[in-house]
Amino acid sequence: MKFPHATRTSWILAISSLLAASMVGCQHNSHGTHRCKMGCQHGQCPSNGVTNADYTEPRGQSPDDGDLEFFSTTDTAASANTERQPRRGSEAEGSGGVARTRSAANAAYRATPGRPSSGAISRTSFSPAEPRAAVQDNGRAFHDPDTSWMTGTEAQRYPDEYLLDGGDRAHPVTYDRTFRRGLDTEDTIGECVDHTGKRRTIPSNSVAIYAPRFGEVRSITTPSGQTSIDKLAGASESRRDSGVRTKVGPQKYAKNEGLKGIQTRLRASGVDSKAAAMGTRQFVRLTEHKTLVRGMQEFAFAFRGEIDTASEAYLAKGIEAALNWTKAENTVAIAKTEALQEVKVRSSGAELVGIEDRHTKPGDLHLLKLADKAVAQPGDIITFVIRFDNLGDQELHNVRIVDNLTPRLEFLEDSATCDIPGQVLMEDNDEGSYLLTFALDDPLPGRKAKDAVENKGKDIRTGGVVTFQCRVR
Amino acid sequence: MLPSTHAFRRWPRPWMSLVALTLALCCGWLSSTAQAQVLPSYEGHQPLSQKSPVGLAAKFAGVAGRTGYMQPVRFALDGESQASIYHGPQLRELVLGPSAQVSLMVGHSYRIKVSNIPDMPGVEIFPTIELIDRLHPPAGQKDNFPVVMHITKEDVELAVAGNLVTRVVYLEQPQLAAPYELDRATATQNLLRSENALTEADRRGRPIAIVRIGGRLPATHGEHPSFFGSGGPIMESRPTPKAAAPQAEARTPSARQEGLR
Repeated sequence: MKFPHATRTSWILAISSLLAASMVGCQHNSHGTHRCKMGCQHGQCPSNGVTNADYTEPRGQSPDDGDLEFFSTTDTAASANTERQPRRGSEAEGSGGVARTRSAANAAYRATPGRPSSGAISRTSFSPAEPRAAVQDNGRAFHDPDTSWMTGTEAQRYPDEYLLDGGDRAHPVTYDRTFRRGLDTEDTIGECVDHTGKRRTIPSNSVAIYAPRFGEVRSITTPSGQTSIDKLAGASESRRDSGVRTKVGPQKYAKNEGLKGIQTRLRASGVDSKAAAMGTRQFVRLTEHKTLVRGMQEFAFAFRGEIDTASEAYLAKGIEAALNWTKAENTVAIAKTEALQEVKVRSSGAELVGIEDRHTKPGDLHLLKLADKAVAQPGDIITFVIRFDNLGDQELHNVRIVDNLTPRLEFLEDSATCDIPGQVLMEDNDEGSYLLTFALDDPLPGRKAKDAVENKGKDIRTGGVVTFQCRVR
Repeated sequence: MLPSTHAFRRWPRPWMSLVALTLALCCGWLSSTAQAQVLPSYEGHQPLSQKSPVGLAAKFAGVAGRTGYMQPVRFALDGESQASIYHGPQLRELVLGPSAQVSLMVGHSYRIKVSNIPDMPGVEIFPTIELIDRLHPPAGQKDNFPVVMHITKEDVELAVAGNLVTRVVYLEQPQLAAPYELDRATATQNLLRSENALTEADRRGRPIAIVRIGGRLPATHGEHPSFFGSGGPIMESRPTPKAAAPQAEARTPSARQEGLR
């Protein structure tokens, strides 16, 4: 492409002027603010008229030496990550910048070698919150044992696949005067009597063991062909007419339903209406007369200039009011007399002597049931552990732990142990398994008794452990 | 010192003993803690039965959203019997190993072949299997709890004689479980011909699979593909060695055996 001579000359001049302006003039920095290369510090830049209020680059001193950092509010969020430079002292005055106080920790961070430059630190940086405890990929915390097999979350959804033992299933255990009711299979409860004579029943937790078992029903169908001929076996029966003849002649019924002539005629009825304008007059008579009493103007002295006897009192009242109005600015003296009073207090020394019994909480039996297997096949042996504790202050009497085993758990005799003297009673639970009762010989002491002998070097156990084994059927 | 009423309590008269014995018997009857196990009555309508066409119950399970799970299944066969299964869209035959365990998909019907039956040389039967439900074992225990399906020699004899044996495998409801160990004989309950096998299985637990054992053989000139099942996939399944169960964190008690009398 060829340009005319004049056009070519004008292009060269234009490019030359742009280059010259870029060498001696002001240019835009990446912030969108103007940076002067002429060294202007205060006042108007002679080159382009940009004020120093928008100038952000420090000069002659490190930006990290000051105590305050000022950031121009004209900085955009994107540019803040790249070239944000602080200014000092008077340069920031009147700039409308944002000040940030530096702390000792911040100064220590700046002294860290290899830290990113201050311009690389974003003012609004977010980092994901860290959990208080480290978690695994499955969301469970480290060192958190998998207790789902104990808590039985899946067992609650699919209870038919699990062997459950413990708790108080179905009807809650209740007592009447003589009998205990509601002790279903799988139930494990603790019975005791507190120091007030009140009977208490505490269920244990439920232990879930995955042990599905299958059954089958069988139906046998035999498709077979069969031929059957049903016929009369030679029985004959004759009947004679008894001479009754009945003639039923045809009867003719005629019913004429003719159309009814119905005619309907609709046409415009042509109604004209003429409404002539008529003058209407209505006379409204006054039916009520009200007299408005206009205050003081109704008095005779007000509108007739006469003072009668009846008006004197009103005049006297008005004069008194006028006096009061004028009196409002007068000095008003208020005197108050206060008599001295004497209060005598007589206090005498007294001494209160008493014994505070901190152990007022009644006995509280807690049961914890565990199993040594989470899954079991038929024939496996499971060891159950029942931990019982008296968490109350007072002792518990007649402590018994009752476990009604499910039909699929076969109790192994002579497998029951207890670290506290007691008895074990085995009864048939009418469902093919046993009803185990662990009865303690002695009352189970509470914290009161434990604290009483604590300083004497003795130890009293407020709980114990019962174990027994069962075979899975 | 005991009160005088305790010290001079008189022994009751003989007729009072009789009354007390009667009362004790009555109390013992009333204090029974639980009722005997009685199967609950079936409430509802069961549209399926053992007479329903093969695959219909599996389709019902698929409609109910139970399909898509590979459920391990183990065939309990007599002696040296060998089982093979037809699977996949091509309906290929896969000979199962000695454990005769394989994972089948719930919501499909499969055809298996049982051969090499003891004392019945040359006899082959082709039972069908429908999986209509699944188990939910803990992680890592899937292959250790297969659904066990029994095919006994008696079933084979009945099938060869022209009978159709239908077995419905169900998951026992623990409260209704039999209080003894189940083996091949005791795990099966025979029903009357008029009884609905699915209904009876539902009364006792949760139906898992239907096994039909008949004498029908595939035609020599070729059989319709539907004869060999719905083309469901199979997966290898082997029982894993027993993993150590998580131990309870309760301390081992210094058990005193003499503590309990």
